[in-house]
Amino acid sequence: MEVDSRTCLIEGVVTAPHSLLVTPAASVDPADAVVPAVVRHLVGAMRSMPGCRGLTAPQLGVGWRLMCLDVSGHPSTRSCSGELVIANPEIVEAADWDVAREGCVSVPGLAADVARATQITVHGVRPGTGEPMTFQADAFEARCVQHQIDHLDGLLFLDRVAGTRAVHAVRKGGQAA
Amino acid sequence: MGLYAVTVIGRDGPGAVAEITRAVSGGGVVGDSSMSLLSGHLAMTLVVSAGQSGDLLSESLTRGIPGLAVTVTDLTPPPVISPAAAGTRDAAPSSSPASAEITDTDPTGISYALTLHGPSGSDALPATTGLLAEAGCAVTSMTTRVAGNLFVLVADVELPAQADVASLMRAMAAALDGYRIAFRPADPAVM
Repeated sequence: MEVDSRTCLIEGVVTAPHSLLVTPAASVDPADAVVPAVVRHLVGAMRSMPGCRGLTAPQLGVGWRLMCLDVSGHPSTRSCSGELVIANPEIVEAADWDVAREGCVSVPGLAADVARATQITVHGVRPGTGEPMTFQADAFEARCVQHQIDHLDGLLFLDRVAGTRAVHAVRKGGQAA
Repeated sequence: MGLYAVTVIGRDGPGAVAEITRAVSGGGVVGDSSMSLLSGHLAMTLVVSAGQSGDLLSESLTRGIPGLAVTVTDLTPPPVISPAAAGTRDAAPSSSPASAEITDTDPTGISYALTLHGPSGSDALPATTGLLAEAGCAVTSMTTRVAGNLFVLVADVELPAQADVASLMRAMAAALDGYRIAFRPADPAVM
């Protein structure tokens, strides 16, 4: 794959502890010529990992505000926008918090109970065209979006656990957001 | 009635928790308890009110749950002798109820949830708890997990009302370079 020297895409995903996972990502120019290659890699990586419902550029070694998700087929999914790729996403409305257990491909072996809004509105832009986009998500899709945006803000789900009994060892597989 | 802490540690397996609780309940009344898997090993602590001595309780549990390490610690509060009765020969000591709870946290303190994560294999745990102790914090609950080379610590802490939280956070950040540390207020909302 040809990528710009500004990016440093890796094979697989970055796992904690890693500085990229605790560093806020920079806004990305959606029209940058390198963006389509990064998007292809991002979506391909998400599809290649069983159980992975979303992924961000920092998890692939690129400190850009770029994320993708696809919650199709998950049993907790209500709203479903299919495969989404968003640049510079921002939550503009959030309501109705609920606690559920989540894991992450960048934190293998652990899961935690985390409170998230179950209804959100997100603004962002489409990579490539820069066209503004707004969408609503609820239930599992809303949780997945918030998990990914946390990555872009340099946060892991471990930073949001409710208490000492909220972190769990994952013995087998597990759902990764 | 005596009050005992029963700790059980050993290899986890199907029905292990049921076996432990059945045996312990046979020896007394179970109060607070907690159970978790630590690196795949079952670790359980139960507070038990029992009419028998700690030695007898320990013997019966060791027989009842073979293959697991059982320890019984006597928590029974010492008898309290009132000052008025202390000088009389036949004063009978009055003992505290066996189920008495001991709470020594500062009621005016502020509750925080502390989360810390970073590389495993260092002295982050003693460094963290040492700094908390220096600041007068009481740790009321704590969990650590290691996954690969990631170390995670989550603790419920009570800070004294006059504690300088900002100073504590600066001290922790300085001592634990490379770790993400967060304090979040954890006082429950009363509905």
